[in-house]
Amino acid sequence: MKDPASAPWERALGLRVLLWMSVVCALFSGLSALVQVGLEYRLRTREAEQSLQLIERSHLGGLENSLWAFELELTRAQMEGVLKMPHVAQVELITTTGERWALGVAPRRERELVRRFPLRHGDTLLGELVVRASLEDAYAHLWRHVALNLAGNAFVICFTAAALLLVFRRLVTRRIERLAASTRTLGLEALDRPLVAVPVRIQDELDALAVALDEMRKGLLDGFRGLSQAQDEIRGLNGDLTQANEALREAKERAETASRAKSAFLARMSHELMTPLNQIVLGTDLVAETLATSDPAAFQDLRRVREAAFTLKEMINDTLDLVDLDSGTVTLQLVDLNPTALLSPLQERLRPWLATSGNRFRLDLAPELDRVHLDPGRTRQILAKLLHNACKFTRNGEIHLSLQPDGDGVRFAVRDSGPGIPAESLHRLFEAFSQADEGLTRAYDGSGLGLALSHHLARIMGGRIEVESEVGRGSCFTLHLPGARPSGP
Amino acid sequence: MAFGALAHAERPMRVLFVHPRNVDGFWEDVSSAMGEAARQLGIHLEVETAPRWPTERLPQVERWLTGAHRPDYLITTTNRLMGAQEIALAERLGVPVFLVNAGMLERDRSQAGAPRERHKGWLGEMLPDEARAGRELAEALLEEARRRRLLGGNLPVEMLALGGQEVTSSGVGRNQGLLAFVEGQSEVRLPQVVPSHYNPDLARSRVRPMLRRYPEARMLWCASDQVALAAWESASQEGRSLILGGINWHPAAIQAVQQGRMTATVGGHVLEGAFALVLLFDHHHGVDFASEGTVWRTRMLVLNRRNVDRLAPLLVTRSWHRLDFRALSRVKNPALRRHDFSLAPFLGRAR
Repeated sequence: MKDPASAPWERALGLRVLLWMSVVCALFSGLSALVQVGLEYRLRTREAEQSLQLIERSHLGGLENSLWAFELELTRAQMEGVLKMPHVAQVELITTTGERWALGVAPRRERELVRRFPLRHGDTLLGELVVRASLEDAYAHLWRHVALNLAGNAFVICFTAAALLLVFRRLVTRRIERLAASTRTLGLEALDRPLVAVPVRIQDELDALAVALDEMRKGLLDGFRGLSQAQDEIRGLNGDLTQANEALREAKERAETASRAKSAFLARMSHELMTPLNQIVLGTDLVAETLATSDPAAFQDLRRVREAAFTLKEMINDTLDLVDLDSGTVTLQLVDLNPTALLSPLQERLRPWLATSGNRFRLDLAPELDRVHLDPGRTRQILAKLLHNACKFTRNGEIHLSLQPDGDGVRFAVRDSGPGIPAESLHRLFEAFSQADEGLTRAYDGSGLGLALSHHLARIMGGRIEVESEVGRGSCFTLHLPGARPSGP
Repeated sequence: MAFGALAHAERPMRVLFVHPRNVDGFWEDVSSAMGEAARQLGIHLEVETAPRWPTERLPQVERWLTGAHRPDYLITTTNRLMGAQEIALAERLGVPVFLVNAGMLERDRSQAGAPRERHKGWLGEMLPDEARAGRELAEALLEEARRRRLLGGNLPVEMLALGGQEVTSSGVGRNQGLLAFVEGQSEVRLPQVVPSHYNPDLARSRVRPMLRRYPEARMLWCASDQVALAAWESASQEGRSLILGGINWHPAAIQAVQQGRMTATVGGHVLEGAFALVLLFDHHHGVDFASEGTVWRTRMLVLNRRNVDRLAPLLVTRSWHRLDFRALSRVKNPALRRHDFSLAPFLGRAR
């Protein structure tokens, strides 16, 4: 990098400005000279043309008369008269009777103005007068004029440039150099010292620049001071943040440990509950066989016990499933199968629920859907929950299951004609241990785990469950399973 | 005047003839014819050429009229508008004047009036009928064209003309005669009359471009013989054969008519000076022609193939001695009732 203090002529602003100014002036001068040449040329040409027009007006009639009368001497004298007109260099007469006379010398072809005048007497064409006006004088005059003009302009430009250079040096460049020198010494360590070139009173743009630079120095000084304080504060904050992060990490580890312990506990407890429960069910069945005919009233009581035990068993299964889902150990078994094959086992399970609730069942399968691609076990699990719920909450009504194509997937809809769900309860429907109406929970047994489990399963399968319901008019739960239509044949 | 005649009975009658500067020998011919007439009539004739410039002319004429040989009569020509002043001068000096050949232009005529009106000393004038000459020359050319069977086509035959000097009475008159003749003719077309100023050199240079401008022209009417001869040369060089004619009875032109190069030459006014001498001779001897008229017009004669061979021997050589001028004088021939200067019979009586 060059030392800015060296090579003074290279960085001389005044000299460069003047150089440019001289170039521009020279260009303008050349341009104006060209325009002048053009105008002068037009003027001279017009003069020559006027001379030719004058010939037409003043000489042609006489020439025609003398030529008509074969007054050849007179004709020649008249041609000499034409030759004496301004700018005329040559006069040539070509008669229709074969004569050809020329007076004067033809100018150079590119510097001549030629006018041809037909000479007539009445209808008779007598000949043609060719007058050549010379523009040689005009050209000579033009070049003299242009040369003088350019020389004059060059002198004026040089003189003005020299004078301006002195003025510019005094008014601008010398002050800029001082300002530059002062700014060059301005470092971090010198920010607290004012610039030497700052004027007392602003007189022009350079004064304003010096003042602005000094204000910038002050601004920088303030900025640096503020920056140091901020740096200290940031360092303190960083320490706090590290401590907080550490605490958070520990809390997370504790939470995960607690969750794992909860899952392990739930799993172990469920297994522990399942064994006595199975024995209760088995025992109840054995007693029921003997009481069925001997004591019908006791049999009915025993049947209610068995149903309660079954409900409990179902709740425990649901709880185990939820625990599996939470721990992320559930895997899907995707297969292609016929919708009828999918739904037949469900209908078997549905029959006792329908008999108990007194509901009619209707199944609608879209005829174009001959195969579906999904996990049949999990799908049946969801649909069984939905159908079981429908049976539980609907008495002597209708349960309707339909299967329809839905884009690249399918849509199962379970519709009932039950009491419906209030709108304010819909958003809590898929939370675990929640039923729409606490009253209903008591009227209809159930843990409230079923919909939460179904919701989790549907999401694992990439789908979702939507519910529409109106109090007094029934509900409709729709399971959407995208991608459940086989892509191949 | 009768006294004057008696007073000079012992010495011969003296006449001064002043003519303009000679251009083509015409005035020499006039002078030689006058000399023969003077010889035959016993007149002492002095012939002088007038100075070129008008301002010199009057003082010179005055010197001639007041000198030791003061003439009894002055025969002169008008020139450059000096006619009226010269007549006045002669009258002042008591010398009777007779004008020949060149008449006064209109402006002078209105100043001077007719002979013997304002100026009693202006006895008379004898001028050629120029218009008639111009017309008769045109007629002769047309007759030749007819003879050569050039007429009768769909278009009129073109005739060109080399006119005389527009500022002389002869030039004006001859041109007028030509134009008057052509105007009434459907067989002839005259596209242009080109001035020749009676200058053969000028005529020579103009004929060539004229013929190129009018390639169909077959006839050329010339205001003088010299012009016609020069025109013939140029036309020949151009390879053109023209029906050509002039005025003046120039010897070379008469020969050209004989040889068939020219069709006609009109003339006879060369004898006007001689005829004027006859009139003044009679006046001097007591027979004044005023009763017959003071203004005489010479009807010129056309020389063409019909009469040229007969008259050429007389006219080419200017053999005026073969003419009998005394036979024209009423003093010499008291039986004559009138002066008759008709050319054809006069020339026909040549010895």
